[in-house]
Parts: sequence; structure tokens; C-alpha cells
Amino acid sequence: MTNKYKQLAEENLDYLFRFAYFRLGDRDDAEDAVQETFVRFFGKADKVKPEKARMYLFRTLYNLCNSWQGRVRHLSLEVVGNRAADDDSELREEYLRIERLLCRLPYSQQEVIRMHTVDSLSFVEIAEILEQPVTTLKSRYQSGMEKLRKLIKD
Amino acid sequence: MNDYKDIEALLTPRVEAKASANLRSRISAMNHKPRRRWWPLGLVASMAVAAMVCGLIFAPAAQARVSVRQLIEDAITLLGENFTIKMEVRTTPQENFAHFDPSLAPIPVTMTVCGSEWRIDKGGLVACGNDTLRYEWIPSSRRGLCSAEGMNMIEGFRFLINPKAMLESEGTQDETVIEQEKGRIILTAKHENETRRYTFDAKTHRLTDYRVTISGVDVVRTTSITTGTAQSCMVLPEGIIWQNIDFVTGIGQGQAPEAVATLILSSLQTWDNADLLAKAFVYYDQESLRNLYLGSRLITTGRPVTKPNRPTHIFIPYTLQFSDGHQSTATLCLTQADDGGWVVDGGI
Repeated sequence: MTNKYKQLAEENLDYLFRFAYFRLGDRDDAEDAVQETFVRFFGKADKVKPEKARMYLFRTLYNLCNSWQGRVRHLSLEVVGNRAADDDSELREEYLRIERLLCRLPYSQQEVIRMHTVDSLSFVEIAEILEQPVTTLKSRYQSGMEKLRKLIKD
Repeated sequence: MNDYKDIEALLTPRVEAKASANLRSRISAMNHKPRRRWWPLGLVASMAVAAMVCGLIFAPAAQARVSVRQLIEDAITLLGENFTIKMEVRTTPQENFAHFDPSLAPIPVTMTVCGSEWRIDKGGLVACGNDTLRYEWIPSSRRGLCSAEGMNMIEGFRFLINPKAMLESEGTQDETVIEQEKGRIILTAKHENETRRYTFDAKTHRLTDYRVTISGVDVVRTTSITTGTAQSCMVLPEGIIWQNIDFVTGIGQGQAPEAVATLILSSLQTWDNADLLAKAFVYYDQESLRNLYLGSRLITTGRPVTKPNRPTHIFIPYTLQFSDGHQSTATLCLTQADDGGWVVDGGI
């Protein structure tokens, strides 16, 4: 691997793993998705502008997670919570805790909130991934947060 | 923007999520393969290649090769932001927009996009919306649903009304095949449960047709795609009573879905528990349901199942005996409401 790609991978690997984990809820699935993302990236790296590479990785991973959710998410939260390996039990608890909060919201609001709070992405970065105007995303974020605040108070 | 620090803190992971050493080594072992360049071949070879390329370009029967990316970019540009797509979809006119079934006969569906607004008309069910407002109604009834928070009412159709996103997503699929024949370019993308096939005009790259196939059957097939003709998408019918569904309360909080399904279906016989049924059937026209199901007796319910493509829904098979004596078996679809209760979202 050339130095610039090595650096890109090193700088973003944990962020990408967290992004995938808090969507798929399983280390193996999340790591497979991240690996697949890099496989696709390296296949097209010549065509991706260096300044766009990071968002390309997130966007590819987002698409992969969405297509993998069908394979993974048919397990209920309880089943995911009871999976055997215990090495990640604390992380899995965190996933379940956050998922239980977010699952009450419409999917479009969940995604923006998850990306901004869990993944620490800016609204401009989220707009690049979801291909939506920043104003729309901010409005979804605000509606979702208001709804969560009401749910938490009740 | 308001201050949401308290909720943001709740949603911030308190445990670090780190990639394993195994993944790190898998990634660093990968090789980026740059495109090969054959500089050493020299001038003679370059000229030979150039002559060959010219020959291909100017040969009468030659067809220019096109990249998937270029094809998709051109098709998106030509589709623009104002278009009407007529299609045949294997679904039922009044069932929700998530329902596709290869065993059903196709029905005509018209989909219109005008900028950020869209409209889908299945005949028995119509929906329209923009970034935030959403409406859905049954033309034969006087009741409709609305959302001011961009709720996804059209489920699987949300991909179809956004051909730009749909086409772009195909560029990332590994199993994308592109072939040319008789003035057409056909792009086939295999997904987990379905195959999508797009046909483009070979000269202009205009999208002329697309279809979605499940188990070898076309469940979605376009019959025409016209651009620049749509007038307005957000025209609402008059006299409809709109019910906001941004916060829906269900029934049977904390109860198992099969118990809730039994409670709902057994209440159909007398309709005495109208409040319960009103909550359970929040997405339905209650009057029509009552006319259809009053007097029906629940015979049996089966084991609940989940489906990979609808992870938030639970499906419970059931058999009802109608007041005229005939029996019908179907699958009730339950989903969780905003308060943690259950509501019916299909199968009735």
C-alpha cells in the first residue's frame, strides 16, 4: 500500500468501524463491511480525488451497511444482545442503548442524528453522504431531537 | 439551532469503538493497484494503438464503449428534475407501498417528480410529498394521513421516486453487468434479493426503461418515462380529513406481538372495542374496515416471523371466517408505534 493510502486508512479506520458498528450491531459484520469498503475504494482509488477520498469511504460504507442491514437486522435487538461473544459486551450494550433511543424516530431523522452524534460527522459531511441539502438535514435533526426530548421526558 | 447538548450526550457512545488488530492487518495487507502504464513501449507502439483506436471510432459499425459512471451521469442529467414514470407493479391498489408480491397480477402505477416534490398514484392509494410534508390517502375514502416530519409513507417506493440515487447506487455494486445491443445499453445490477435492469438509449444515454425482478418475475416494469411534462405534484383532494401520524400511539405496550394480533383480530367480530381498533388500525380507513370485517371470527393465528427486508415489522399468519361463512388466510403485519405499542401496518 502506498504511503498516502496507508495514512488515509490509518486515520479513518476507527471512525469507519464505529460508523459500521452502530448500524450493524456486530463486530464481525462491521469489520467485514469496512474491509469491503476498502476493497471497493482501492479498485477505484485512481478515479477518486484525494480531497474526496474520506467521504467516498463513508458513502460506500453507508451504502454497504444499508444493503447488509437486511441480512443482519432481521435479528431482534434482544437476539443481537444475546449473541455469544462477550469481548464487546460493553460496546454492544452501548449500541443497544442508543438504538433503543433512536428506533422511535422515522428512519430519515434517525440517520441524521446517528451520523451527527454517534459518528461525529458535520452536517456538511452528512450532506455529502446522503446527498441532501444541509438545511433539510438540520431540519430533520431538529425535529428528531425535539421528538426524543419529548419521549425522554414522558 | 436549539441546544440539544443533554440529548446529544445521551446519544454519544460511552465506550470507544476501535477496529481490531486483525482488521488493521487485513487492510494494510491490501494492495492498491494503479492503472498500468506502458511507457517503455515507445513511439511505434503508441502510434499503432492510436491508429487502432481511430479505426474503431470511425468504423461504421463501431459502438463506443461507455463506462457505467458516464452512462449513469448522462442518464441522470437527461432525466432532469421533472419527469413522469408509468409502470406496472405487482402489488394491490390499496395495500401499503411496501407490498410487492411476484404472485400478484401487475397494476398500473404513475409516479411523478417535480423538483423536490413527488406523487405516486396506485389507483386505490395515492401519496405525495416533499422534503418534510407527506400525504397519503385512499381516493374512495374521506380520510388521509399526513406527516410534517418527512415520515417515510411510501416505503419501497422511496427508491423508485429517486432514480438519481438509485442509479448512482448501481455504480458501487460489484455484480453490475453492462451490455450493448440494437441501439440500447442494458445495465444489470444484482442485489441481495432482486435484480435491477436498466435500459438506456445507446446514443444519448437516456434512460428508457427499468425493471426490478424478484425470483425471476418482474415486480416493477416501466411502461413509459417522459421528462419535463409534470405540472404539480402536491395537489391534494378536497374534503379529506387528515390525521397526523408523526406521533402514533399503539396498543399492547410490552405484550408479545402474537397476543396483540389475537386481541385485534378477535375484536373484529363485534367491533365493541372501537377505541382499541381505532388505535390498532390508525393507518386504515376504519369505516371501510368495519363494513368488511364486522362479524368475522378469528379461527387461528400462527407463529410470528420477521423478514430480512422489513426488520421493524412482525408478521403473524391468521385465518378469519367471514360473516358469510367463507374463510380467508392472510398475514397480519404489526409494527411498533411511537409509544412502544403496536399498530397494524399491512395484511388486512
